[in-house]
Amino acid sequence: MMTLRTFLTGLLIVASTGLGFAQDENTFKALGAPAHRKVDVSWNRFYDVDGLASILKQLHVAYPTITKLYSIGESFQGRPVWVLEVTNRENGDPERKPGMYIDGNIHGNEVQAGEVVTYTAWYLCENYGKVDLITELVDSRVIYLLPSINPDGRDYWFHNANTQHSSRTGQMPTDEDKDGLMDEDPFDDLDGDGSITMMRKRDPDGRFLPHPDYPEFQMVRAEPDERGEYIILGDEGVDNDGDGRVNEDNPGGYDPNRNWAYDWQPHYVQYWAKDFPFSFPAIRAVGEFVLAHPNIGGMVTFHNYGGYILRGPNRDGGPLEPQDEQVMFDIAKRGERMLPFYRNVISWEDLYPVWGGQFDWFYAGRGITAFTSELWTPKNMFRSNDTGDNARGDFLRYLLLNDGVVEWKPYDHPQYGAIEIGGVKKEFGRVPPSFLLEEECHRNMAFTLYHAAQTPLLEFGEIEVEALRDGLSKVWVEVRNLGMIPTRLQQDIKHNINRADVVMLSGEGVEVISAGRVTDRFFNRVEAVKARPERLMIDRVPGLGVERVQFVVSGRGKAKIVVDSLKGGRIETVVELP
Amino acid sequence: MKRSPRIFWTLSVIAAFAWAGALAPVFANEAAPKFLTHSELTEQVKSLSRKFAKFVHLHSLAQSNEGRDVWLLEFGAGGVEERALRPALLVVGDVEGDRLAGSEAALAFAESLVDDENKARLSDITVYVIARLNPDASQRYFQSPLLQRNANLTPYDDDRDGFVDEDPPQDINGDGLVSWMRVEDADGALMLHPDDERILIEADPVKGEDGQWLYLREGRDDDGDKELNEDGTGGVNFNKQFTFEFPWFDPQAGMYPLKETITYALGRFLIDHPHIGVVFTFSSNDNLAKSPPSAKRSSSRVPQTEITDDDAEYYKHIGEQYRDAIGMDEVDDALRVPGSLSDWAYFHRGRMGLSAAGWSPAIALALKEDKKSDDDEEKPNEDGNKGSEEEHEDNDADDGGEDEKRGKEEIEYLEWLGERAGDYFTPWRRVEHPDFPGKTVEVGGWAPYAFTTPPADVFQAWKDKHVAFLHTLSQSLPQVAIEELEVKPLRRGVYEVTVRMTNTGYLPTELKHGERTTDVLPTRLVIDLPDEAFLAGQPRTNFGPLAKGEVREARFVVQAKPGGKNTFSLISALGGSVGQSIIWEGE
Repeated sequence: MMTLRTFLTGLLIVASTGLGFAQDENTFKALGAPAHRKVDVSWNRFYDVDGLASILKQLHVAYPTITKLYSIGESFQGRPVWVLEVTNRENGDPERKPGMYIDGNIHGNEVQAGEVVTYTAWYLCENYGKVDLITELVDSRVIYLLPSINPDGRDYWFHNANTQHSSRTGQMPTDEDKDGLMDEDPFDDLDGDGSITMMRKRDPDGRFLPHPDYPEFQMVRAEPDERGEYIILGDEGVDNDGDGRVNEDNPGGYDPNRNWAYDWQPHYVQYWAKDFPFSFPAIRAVGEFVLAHPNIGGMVTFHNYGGYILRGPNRDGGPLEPQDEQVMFDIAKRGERMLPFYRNVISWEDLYPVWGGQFDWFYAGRGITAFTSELWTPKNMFRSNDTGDNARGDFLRYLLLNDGVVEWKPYDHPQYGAIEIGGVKKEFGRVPPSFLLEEECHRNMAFTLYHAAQTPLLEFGEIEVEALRDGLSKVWVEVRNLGMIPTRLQQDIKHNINRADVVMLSGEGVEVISAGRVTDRFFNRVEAVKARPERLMIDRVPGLGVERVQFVVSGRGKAKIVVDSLKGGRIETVVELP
Repeated sequence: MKRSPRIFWTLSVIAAFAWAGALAPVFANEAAPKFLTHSELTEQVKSLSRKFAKFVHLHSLAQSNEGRDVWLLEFGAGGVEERALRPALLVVGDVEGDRLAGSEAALAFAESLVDDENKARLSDITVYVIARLNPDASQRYFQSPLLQRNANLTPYDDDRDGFVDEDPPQDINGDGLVSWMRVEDADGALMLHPDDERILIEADPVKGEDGQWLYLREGRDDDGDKELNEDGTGGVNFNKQFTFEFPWFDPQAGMYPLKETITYALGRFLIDHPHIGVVFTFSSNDNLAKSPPSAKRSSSRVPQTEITDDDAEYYKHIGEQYRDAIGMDEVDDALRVPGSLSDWAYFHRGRMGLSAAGWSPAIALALKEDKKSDDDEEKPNEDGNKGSEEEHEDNDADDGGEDEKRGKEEIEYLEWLGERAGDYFTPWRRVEHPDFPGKTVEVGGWAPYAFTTPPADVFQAWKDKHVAFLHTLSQSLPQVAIEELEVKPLRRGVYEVTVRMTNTGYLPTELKHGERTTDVLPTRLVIDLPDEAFLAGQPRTNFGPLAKGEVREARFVVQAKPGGKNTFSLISALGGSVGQSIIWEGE
């Protein structure tokens, strides 16, 4: 973990530019965000790893009582994996509050995920004490925010020439073409514009033509009965290693979202799985972090693109208990309403099967409600289902004023000879343009916080004490769960992933003689346990439901009742025995 | 039957040293062999590497939770880079920690590699030997009371009650052994064997039998939850820690594959040493005492769950070699352990993954010199690892009374042990047990390690036979060779080159499944001429697997400088690498 000292040093540089905003009497609130902010951030541009870390640091300095900032480990290239933990630190042990885990950018090129998570952190901090629902959430839950769990991939995408699809991987050297050399034939930014676009070559036998409406950057396939003019040679690059292939061994070459432990399969089954689960340092760090925080009851990981709320399982026949599917479906259903054009679907069925995916481990391995959110859908361009070539062309031309277009220009290629390079820049396609980025951040944050508010949270309901004969009493305790998510999912109970919830009764001179779950409250049916009645174990407290237990005790005076649930928290109260 | 009053594994432990790993061997037994403690093993590997520094390189693979080094011996002549290119064999003596005999055999094999008759081969191959992968578990063999452990001591809340390791098995009768208890109880599913009351078998209600006995690990209900020994001292079994069919939620499997420091280090080591083509382990996941089943290649993107038919013959042949070396028949059943190291090596890394239990009741009964002449048709049908009540196998309902299969292997093992049985099996003796007031409770039965340890009088021969087999195995590695390099000048400075390559070893340069995993790099021919020198062909050419004796031909037309010299290098992931230089004619 990075020490406070290191990070404060970093902060001094940041503070001189980013902090210390006075209240601006000329700015006014638009609903959804405060007009006056302690930390001012432009949400219509992207930030690299240090850029996001700097926002987190400013938030921590501005809101020290509700935040904690730390690194849980390092990526392969030594970048920290930052966590901003948001909770009211003055009303209870943060480790014992129900937790929500939110991360982004496991695929290096899926960058806006980082902004969505950081926006969430910003919004929570800036609205704590102002928006009641936020205040309640930050008081009762702990929210773990990890803007980028693939910081190497993120920085590589920003700082190097890439396509919209490249730098999905991390940066561990990998021999993709199995020639005994690693990363020896990457893209080459031949025209030096910072983006990898396409190469085409005039060829009377080619099957491609310039697009009739957008000839400056788009190509179309010739009709079957029509002559073409070009062949397309693929992404910008040369054959660096002399094997007759171009760009076949880029930096990295694996998928961090195929590196999770549950249902993991090697490369021949799951493309880009690489060595073994949790073999990538940043991913292992996240795995260990989650194991060390059994209070986490909800999870979302942000990706792009397509506009999906993806639920498990990731493969046909993968683990999913019906009760758990129902609660995740219900949460995602609300999300569909909040996220126009997003679809609430099952990952393998509606997208594609994946082995060793992240949410499988969270759900099946750890018993946590888990979603992947695929940010950005091109349907947002014209708020329409039309996302074809013309929609793309018109959006670039009329809304972006051709910002993002690289017009075809001639280039003398060492292997292909006279070619042309052009197309669209990496920022077009999978990430939103500036003016839609803030909307994407806010809507997705809202869904995530809705999910966070459904994590289990316990409170006592009615506690009845009834005197029996001979100094014995019967104590009925109601334990209520205020979240939609049960304290333990069925998957958790089925496989004993986490320990049971316990209800304990103790007191000076008090002895618990018998205890059990109340199975019918109207007809007084109780299922007594064989042993250890003073420490009654129950499977779960259901979502928005109640669990009743009965203790039969001897003794008088005060007795303490404690409910201790890993995911629902720990509550206690005192009753008076007659 | 003979009931010996003498209790075998009598222990005299200096408990204060137990955790320091500096314990002297403590068994005063007669039947069990004497094994090396961790510090003795450490001494031995250090002295070996000092004495033969030219061939033996000692590494610490990792340190165990309790601070013991996992010693990795590397055998090979020459520099690091040379050694890393040669065909290589990895021998892991004891993956689980309770097969100490295997660790001794691995060490004996290691020591024999520097013998005069074997030393020369260390210029052709590299051999890695890890005598003990789980030294924390192995060290339990030297502690009192004796409890058989196949796991380290990573804490684990087995019964998920919020308390960790609070109800382990114990030695309640003070005989120095944590063995078994049987409790006469109407709830029990077991009954006494009609022919031998020492042995418990599962009652079959269909035959009108009524179970009257519980079979439990020796111990008490320490935490008062009415469950006995349900949360023992921690423990990850390293042979359940690997990715192939990782047994999720098995209390011994660990939190996720390759989570433990040692398994992670071993995983990294195998991946960082891709020249290892054969992994041999001593572990319960036996595929040598019985050759493994095979199946056709699974369809695309579907996990292969049995050895592919294409590779099965190699497994069969090596299995036969193993059984010949040991002098045993094939056993009927072999245990399969999900998450094992040897299966990981095959199914996920594409290497030959072999495992021998080395010892079990079934193996003892399959040994040829000890078999009675007339029992060929009635082989034992159970593996010897009766761990608990649940593990009793179901038997066919049609077993006649004459041919009772239940408990047969145990009875025959007792017979096979003969005089030694008194040391492997403690007579049942009645005790007063606080958790079963008023009930008949007896403590005794199979001693710890009784199913995993060959008796002392056969141990030396057993070890020698395993060493002999490991030498045979070390000679089976693939080895590529350039059989012929034929150069035909076409014009001045233009040559047609024909390269004939072959495999002079036994195993193919890649198993079929190895090729499929893509984790075994294809064999490649590299010519140190620039790309533009090639009129036909290219500087680097990849090839598929080469079987023993198979010849592959590659032809090139190149422009080269007459009188100049170039090298053709044939590089195989598992079959070593060779180079041949030529001087172009014509000057």
